[in-house]
Amino acid sequence: MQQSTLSSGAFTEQLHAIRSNNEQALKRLYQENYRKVETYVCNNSGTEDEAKDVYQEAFIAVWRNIQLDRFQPDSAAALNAYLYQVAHNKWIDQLRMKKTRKTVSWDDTPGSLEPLLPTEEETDHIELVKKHFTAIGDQCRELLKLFYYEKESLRSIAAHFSWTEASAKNNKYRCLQKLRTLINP
Amino acid sequence: MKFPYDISPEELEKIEAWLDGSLLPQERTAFEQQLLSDPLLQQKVDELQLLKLGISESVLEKKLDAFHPVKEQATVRRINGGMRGLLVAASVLLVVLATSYLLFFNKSSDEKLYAQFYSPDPGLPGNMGGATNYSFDKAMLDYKNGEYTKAIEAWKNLPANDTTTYFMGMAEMAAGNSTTAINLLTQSTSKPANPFYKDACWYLGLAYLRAGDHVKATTFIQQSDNPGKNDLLKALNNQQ
Repeated sequence: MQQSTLSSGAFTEQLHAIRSNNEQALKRLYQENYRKVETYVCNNSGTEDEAKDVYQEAFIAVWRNIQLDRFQPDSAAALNAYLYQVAHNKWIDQLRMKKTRKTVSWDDTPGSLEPLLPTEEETDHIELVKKHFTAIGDQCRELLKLFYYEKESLRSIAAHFSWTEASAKNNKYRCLQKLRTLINP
Repeated sequence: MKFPYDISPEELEKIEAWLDGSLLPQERTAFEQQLLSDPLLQQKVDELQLLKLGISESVLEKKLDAFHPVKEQATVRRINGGMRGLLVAASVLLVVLATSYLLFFNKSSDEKLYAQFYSPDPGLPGNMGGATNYSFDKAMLDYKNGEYTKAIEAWKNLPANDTTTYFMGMAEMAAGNSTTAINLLTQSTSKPANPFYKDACWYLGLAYLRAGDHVKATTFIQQSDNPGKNDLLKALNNQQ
């Protein structure tokens, strides 16, 4: 398992890259921290598949908190430790769920170390968005992906689709409305 | 969540600029003031934030499987590992029963402990070298028959890989050449990704024990996962 030895300047760059959804930066973060979580889960009644699921959930949760500035790591070590902690806590919750056969609410986990909890409303809404995103059609999906995830400019997106910039802007608005309407018919 | 409001294209543009931090300072101040006085605007901002997140997470989730490290093609080894694990465990039990016999001999405590916990790796089942690797299989057969020197010679003549290195180490140990075994097993324990890593740690620890180096012995045994690990560590600890 690699220990990150980035200088603070290099870490600032890494964090910026993660915020910008840079593929290499995200992949590196993912791969640097997976094994430790796998070892923990497999040594605690879990399988490799369960380790992968819990890790990916944790990865998305950490990504979200970074995007929202709820979590602002000041070093690679802090970032890695946080990711591990989130995955660790998620696994513990799953084990408790298996034992008690009831959903563990956040209130049931006193001393849970994850300080940055999303509200249930927030989580539910994001899940709704994800669900309906798949139903807006290929072109809308591609357009919204390029704008929101890849963070491309309207000009660049227009070129991609051979539109004018004004068309790109209009189409983006229409696609977003389509998604909003599906979520709230 | 109900959306009893609409968001115009102009509003969308401004809210997104706000979320991106790309509003000019005066525009930003104006927007912040609007937020304070207009709860509906805050709702719209929150909704768009969640839309952005949902879209991005949808995309990101699909990429995660591609980030996932590829598992080594070790299925054969893994099936094997289970069996070998059982065989090693059984051998350990037998050796534990035999220790009372050994106690009659005047050996050093390290030697006694070594003898108590060491049993030769049972080797791989036949045909593990595959149809084209007759030499490997023949050497493995020699190893199992106790013809360690022959096995070592044959493996030495094959291109070096993790498997031949590890089993040469096993053969040297079985032949009583702990020092030579240490050199070989050090290679097997140089990378945790080595398929024989955990077993090699066990045997390397034992070899160091026999050589009288308790510190190294403990280090490597701790990294192994042999069923006898905790008992051996306890015994080593009691000896300190």
